[in-house]
Amino acid sequence: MISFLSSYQSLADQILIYSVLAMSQCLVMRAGLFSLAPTAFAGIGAYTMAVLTTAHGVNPVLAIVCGVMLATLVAAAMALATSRLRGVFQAVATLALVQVMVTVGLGWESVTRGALGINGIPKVATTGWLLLVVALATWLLWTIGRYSIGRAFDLIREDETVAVSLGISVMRYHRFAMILSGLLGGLAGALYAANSHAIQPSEFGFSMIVAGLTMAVLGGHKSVWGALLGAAILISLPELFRVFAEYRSVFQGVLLMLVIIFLPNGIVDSLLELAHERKVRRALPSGDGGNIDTKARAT
Amino acid sequence: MKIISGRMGAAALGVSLAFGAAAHAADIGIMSIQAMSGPYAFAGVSYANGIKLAVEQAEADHYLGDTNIKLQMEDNAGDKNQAINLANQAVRPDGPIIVLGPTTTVDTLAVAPVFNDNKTPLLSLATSSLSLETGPWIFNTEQNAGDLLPVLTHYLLTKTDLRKIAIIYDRSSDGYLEQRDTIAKTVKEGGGEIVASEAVTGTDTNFLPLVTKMMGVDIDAIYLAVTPEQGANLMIQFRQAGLPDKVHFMGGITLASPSIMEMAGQAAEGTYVIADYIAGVDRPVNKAFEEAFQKKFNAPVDQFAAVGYTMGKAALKAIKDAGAEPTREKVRDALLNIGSVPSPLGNGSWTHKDRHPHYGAIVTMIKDGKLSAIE
Amino acid sequence: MLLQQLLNGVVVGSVYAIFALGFTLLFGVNNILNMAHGSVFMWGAFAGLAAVTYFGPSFPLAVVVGMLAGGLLSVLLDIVAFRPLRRRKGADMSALLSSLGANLVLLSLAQNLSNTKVMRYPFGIFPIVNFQVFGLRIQLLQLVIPLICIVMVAALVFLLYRTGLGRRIRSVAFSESTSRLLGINSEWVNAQVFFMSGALAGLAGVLIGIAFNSVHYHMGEPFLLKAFVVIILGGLGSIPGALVAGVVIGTIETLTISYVSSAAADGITFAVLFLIILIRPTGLFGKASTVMRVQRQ
Repeated sequence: MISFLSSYQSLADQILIYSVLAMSQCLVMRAGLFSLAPTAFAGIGAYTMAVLTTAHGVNPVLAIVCGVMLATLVAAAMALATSRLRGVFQAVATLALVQVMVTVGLGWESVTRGALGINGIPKVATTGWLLLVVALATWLLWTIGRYSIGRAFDLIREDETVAVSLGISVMRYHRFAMILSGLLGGLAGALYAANSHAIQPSEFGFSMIVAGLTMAVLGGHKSVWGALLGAAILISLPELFRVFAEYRSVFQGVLLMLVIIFLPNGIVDSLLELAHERKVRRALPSGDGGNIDTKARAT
Repeated sequence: MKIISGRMGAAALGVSLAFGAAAHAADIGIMSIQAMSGPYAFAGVSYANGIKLAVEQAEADHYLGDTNIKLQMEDNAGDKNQAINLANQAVRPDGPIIVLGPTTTVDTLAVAPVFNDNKTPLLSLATSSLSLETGPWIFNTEQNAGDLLPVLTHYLLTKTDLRKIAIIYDRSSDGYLEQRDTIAKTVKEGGGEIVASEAVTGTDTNFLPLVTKMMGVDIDAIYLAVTPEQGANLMIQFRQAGLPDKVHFMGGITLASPSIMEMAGQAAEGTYVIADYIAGVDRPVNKAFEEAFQKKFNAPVDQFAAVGYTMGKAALKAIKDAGAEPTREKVRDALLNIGSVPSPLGNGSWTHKDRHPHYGAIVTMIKDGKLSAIE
Repeated sequence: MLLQQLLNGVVVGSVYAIFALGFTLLFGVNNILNMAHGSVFMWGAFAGLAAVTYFGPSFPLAVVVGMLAGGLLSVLLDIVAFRPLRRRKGADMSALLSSLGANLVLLSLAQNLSNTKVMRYPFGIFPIVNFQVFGLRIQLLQLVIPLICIVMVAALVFLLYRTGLGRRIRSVAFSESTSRLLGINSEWVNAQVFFMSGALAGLAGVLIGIAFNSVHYHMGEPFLLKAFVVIILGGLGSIPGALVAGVVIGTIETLTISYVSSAAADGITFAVLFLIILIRPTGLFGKASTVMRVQRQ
């Protein structure tokens, strides 16, 4: 029985790793920053870790840390470069970053072995460690989100003009969001490399961007649990839908569209909103009917 | 024989083997992991069909006596991660006794550590010897470039006057890189000259810049280490750009797919292909295989089916040689000392030395839209 | 050889331009990045292929069917994926995400339909005629493609600036709510814009399918990615910009492949994008009014 469960361990590992990527994506979305860069950061983190351990015999844990650091540095550079941009341009600039990273991965063959990718990465990110890391990351995000930074993010996302009028420096907060997303993205990538023996440049391109966005949308980007739920749903879907075999992606795409249209805040956020509404309604004396807007939220 | 597919199958198999262990002690599990959907399905589906035929024949002939063969066909859609998930499922103690596949060299290299660490024999379809370096539980079914290409270059350099060779290769797989290196080495050793070497990626379709660039070089023959579709595309674009007929194309087993002629049409005429299988060879094992395959699947045989069939037969022979109570270890040892397996490939006999397969090769040329053997 | 490579660049650049025209049109009018544009392109190629498979190889047939299919699919896309989001705040991001979902659906339907096979247009779809001019070897198709591109751009410019429909489109682009106040049926205008965008994508798909002998369910992705570079370089929403930028990008790419390496081509293209965004985000032909939407102080 235990062996039966352990075969689903690789699934659990993937959910945990992807949830860190989702956290990175959720963070930038929460701040109203239209960044697709988490995938690029993941690629940087993964390749740094992989190259250091396979070609230079560096201790795997140290390699993971290096991967995270390099990704964060690149994120800082990106933050400076793109903090003045808006909406569409942020998206396109970060998309360009992802593509440049993929090309570097494919072209810098002496270091990255090009399209072949890197094999034989020591598998140090086992389930136990992953759980620990994910717990830490969740705690980190939760702390940030609860206090002024989280509130500032929410305000900037909802209405930038109001935020500016309150003296909140949008640029500063966006830079912070970008750097933090670089840290999380790099961590996700390094863990990915440390868990799956082999990596290739094509894995850190368009499809990972879509995966990251899907997870963030499904789960919702305000609450920390959104990332976890989004990752859990995205990873389990191919397994659940295996029965439909060829039409898996169709269901994923339809699911994404349905969620965007009907549950734009994601599943977790919508559920939390529902729970909040009920709380408010119960707290009101009966008979107040429709006078009070029960959709008003404290944040 | 029961063919179980998919996740439900895996669960059912696991449960039934767990609970019914005593009653069904004579069941043997074989799993095949192939890319039955996705970009490599052109090979994966054929491999799978070949395996199915081999197992079915073995059951019909009671090759393993009273033992029931449970053949589990899994699809990893050419996705490395899914292959790894499937591999993790397969190496469970109640899993299959031997696993066949995965379809591509890249997927094989990714799953080989899983099988080796968990002491489960894997008969792979890698076309590179890198897979063998993972450990003693990994075997290759197909010869790699180092075995096949010297035959081709030897023919070229002794029986034709083609000396200046250009290479176009797909840089996204070890198999193609190995082809490039082997061709370069054997051509130079045999007195020829490599005049150009260009890389493409598996998904490229716009070859105008590449073609224009190479038209400026004096070339006798172009070696294509790419997928069949790209090979066909390159041939067409080269000829449209005015490449003279006296410049021939050449290729390894990926170019030996029947679809090449269909896709490239006139442009493929005169192409040299080194094949490990060609339909219509006058040999009893070939005739029997082709007839049975045609009857069961109503589809033309290709070299992937022939390899899959050989793979199935090799696995079955190893299981039989492992004795009455086969374990994974015994099957592996049997595979190591397997001797010769009659096969439609190459010279008719599949053997291996130190897990490195050998079965000869056939030099062919595309004439009038068909592959015909020259030697 | 340089001249021949430049010709190659113009040919592939013209198709980039046609593809980007549809993309930039949608952005200019609706402010959305349609991530499913590549799939519309691919389905146009598929539709053209189906038509000539049933009715015999005919270039005009393939083009017409490809454009029709692309246009209709694009309108369907609007109804299903974009219209429900239009009234919402923050529609830009939601629209992008929704189009990603739609893209996934279109991709996998095509994947299943085609069994992931790489297909090709039948031999004889376009006459193989070669000209030898100034030491260049030019195929007839290589002349026809840039010609079609120029015709399309001219037609689009004419439509936008000299017809009633064009006025209505520009009005909706400026402000949808104001247009409705003026009595313009904005939904009908949107539908027509989507149709044009899709028709252009479908046209590009058919041309590429024929020129490069390959119709494959994944053929749209590289085009979509390059389209980003093209529309930014040309200026978001600018028609002549899409044409010029398309040809420029096509030429840069071709020259990089021939003189550097094919591996560098993508990287250089996107590095160019990066530089443009940092230095002159409005692109070559972008209007000053876009500056307000681009930068914040």
